[in-house]
Amino acid sequence: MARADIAELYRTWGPAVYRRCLRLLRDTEAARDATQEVFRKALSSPEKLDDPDLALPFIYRVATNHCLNERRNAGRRGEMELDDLDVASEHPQFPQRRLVQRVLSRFDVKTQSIAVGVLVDGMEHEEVANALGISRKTVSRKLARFLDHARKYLERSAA
Amino acid sequence: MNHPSDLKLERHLLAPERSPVAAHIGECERCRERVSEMRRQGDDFRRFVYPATLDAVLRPRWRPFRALWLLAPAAGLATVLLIARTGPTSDYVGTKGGPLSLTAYAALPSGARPVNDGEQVPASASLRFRVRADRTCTLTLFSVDGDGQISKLYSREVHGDVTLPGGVQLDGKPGPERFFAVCGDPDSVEQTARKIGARALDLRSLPEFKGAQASVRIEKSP
Repeated sequence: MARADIAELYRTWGPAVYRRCLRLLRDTEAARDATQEVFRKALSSPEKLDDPDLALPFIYRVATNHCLNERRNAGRRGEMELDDLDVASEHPQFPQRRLVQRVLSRFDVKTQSIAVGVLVDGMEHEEVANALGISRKTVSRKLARFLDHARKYLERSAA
Repeated sequence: MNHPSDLKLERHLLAPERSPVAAHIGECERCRERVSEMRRQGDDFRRFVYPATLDAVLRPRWRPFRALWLLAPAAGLATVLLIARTGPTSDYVGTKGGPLSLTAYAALPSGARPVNDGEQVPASASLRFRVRADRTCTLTLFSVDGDGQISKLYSREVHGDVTLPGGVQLDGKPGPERFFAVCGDPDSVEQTARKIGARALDLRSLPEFKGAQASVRIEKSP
């Protein structure tokens, strides 16, 4: 792909990538670094970036996976922990107002993406399923397991 | 009330005229605020992130075998560059000879050149920054414009003579803008800057800070 075409795609889709990274990393420096990494990863499927209907869910998925990995890796590397994520008010089934990193880190990235999509972004199960390219049933199953384990973990931590 | 997710709001931003959530946003203050915030973040991307990261995005991905063959000459080149690297120019702006100095470079049609304090540059020019710190410091680089808007540009540890990665593109609005390089806790630097606001345009340094500082003011011309 020509450099000018890449630059144009970056100008078009970069803001959405940056906003997603800011939302998940809550740090402008980390979001800036992540944005370029996410976009370089996204360039491995340029045909998806050319199709406006595919591009948005595609970059959402790539950005979400990348940033959740960054959050987990930051903790492992002993770097300053990123801020916890706020839970959307529409989801009172989660026992805490914030989705703390130590709970999130106990799950695989797919489960983390589902939990963040539903609890933090306030998305419907179907929307999460479409965005992540998985079935609605998988979303429900993994979310139920996440909530169950997260509750138990939080209860143990509080005891 | 169920509010549209960020993903739906992203679709709305791409094509507001075809947005199925436009009616909701029109009636929902919370969503309007979120859309405004997302627009601001988009502006920040275009103004700061895009120019600072485009080079890295355009850089070809290295394949392992190719990288291996290139390793020896690349190491040689690095050595040459280290030897050939020149010292700081005499055009430093800020506290010359002090513990921290800051130089802004403008990318102009005639080529990149240092900008002197108070100098005019085109309002949409791209700038790059170089700092020299005598000691290791956590550097925050931010700007304040004529409206008192504070924009944090970098925050990272520096030591010695460092060209900050990427650059910034000015916002295209004519008027003054001052860039500050400050050593110290980034949160405190930012809070102090926001407290001072537009008054910082006329200050060479933040008055409440003991850490090393330098600044340069530019006049953005139409």
